Amino acid sequence: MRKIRVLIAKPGLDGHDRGAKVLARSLMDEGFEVIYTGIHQTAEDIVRTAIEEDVDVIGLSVLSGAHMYHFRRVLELMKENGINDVLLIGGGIVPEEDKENLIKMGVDAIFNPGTSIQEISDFIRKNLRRPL
Amino acid sequence: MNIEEILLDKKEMSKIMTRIENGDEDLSSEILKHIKGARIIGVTGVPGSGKSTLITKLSSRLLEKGHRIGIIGVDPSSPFSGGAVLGDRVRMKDLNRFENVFIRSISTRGKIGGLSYYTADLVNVLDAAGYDTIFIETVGTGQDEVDVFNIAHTIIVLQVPTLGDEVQIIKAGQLEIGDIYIVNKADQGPADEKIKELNLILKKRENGWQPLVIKTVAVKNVGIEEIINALDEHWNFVKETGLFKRKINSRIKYMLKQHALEKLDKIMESEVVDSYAEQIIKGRNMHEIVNEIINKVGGEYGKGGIV
Repeated sequence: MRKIRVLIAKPGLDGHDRGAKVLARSLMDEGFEVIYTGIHQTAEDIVRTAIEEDVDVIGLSVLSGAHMYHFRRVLELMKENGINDVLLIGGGIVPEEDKENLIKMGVDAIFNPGTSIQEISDFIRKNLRRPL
Repeated sequence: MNIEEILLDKKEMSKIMTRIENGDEDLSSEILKHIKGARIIGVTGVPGSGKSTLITKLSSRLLEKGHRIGIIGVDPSSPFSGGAVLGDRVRMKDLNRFENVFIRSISTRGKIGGLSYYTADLVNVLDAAGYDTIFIETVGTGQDEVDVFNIAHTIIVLQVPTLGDEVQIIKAGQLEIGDIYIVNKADQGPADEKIKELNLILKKRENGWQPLVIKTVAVKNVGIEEIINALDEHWNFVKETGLFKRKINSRIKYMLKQHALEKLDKIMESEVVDSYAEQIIKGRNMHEIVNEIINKVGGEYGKGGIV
């Protein structure tokens, strides 16, 4: 079976990366290949990395409150680049009503604090858009 | 559309890399026919010695000079889950401002030696796509990981000032394969001492090259220009002495070995080994079984079997 590749990135000026690092490490323990880019990524950086690394999943961690902007921009660039077989998921501090709007916008899932790693990895495995 | 046209599209090229890494043998053989002869630079050294940073600094300079740069960054896979955290891009963010660079992060997928079974194939993809200079960043290495020597024309070995006494310097392995030795993080310890020790032991190689030792503080751009010059000097040496041709040969021989070993590896990791172990316990000759397995690699265990 091929390896599932997941990009974990932090967009914008938010420097709180402990959660993203814990997640990267935990997804490794689940057998995924995790491409970790670190903080201060632009949407352009993120989509470019997703293309070069041919990932199955883009995971964004946003704790700054700017989630609506970052996800919208990444979705735009994904569309522009014809990326339609990659899951876009996110985590961080996202209020319920924004969560609903993000899902409507095309984000596949938002995981709030307290989500178990199992839940995230199960979601990825069940919802992959490419054959394993 | 022929393969070289497909490779012009980064997204398509990236998917080709994925297919090869997942065992598409026909694609791997086909790509090999299209390599153009890029300059391949291997960068190795202990974890945290500054490999990613150095590659980023060198690449920026070479991109400004008009080169097209490919980078393969290798990080270790977990012996337990098989997963990996691939983090070389953290230090390479600056390169995103350039169009003519392609970075791919890969895991060793259980292979020792500093590279994965498919690293050379991915280098071939970049080479066939017209990237004229390709960096291979090995996993963080210790002493013995010298696989990259088979593929790269030029080997850069990174050292840091604070680790080890002079006995470390005289040991086998990485101190024998480098063309350019970098004492990085020179602002953080007795760098001049390290340089003296290296210069003492680094004699002219059999091929006639005298390894160079350069002091750097890569994050501050100190010493980068000297390395660019050293790379040019070594590249001229590679072309003038016939080393270029010999390296193509050694790259292909290395790939043959990797692909053969990978098949054997898959068989030895599969459950057939359990039954063989049983047979040995019951008294069957071990080496007879070894020969039986090798005979079956191309047969019932081969393509579509276990492999």
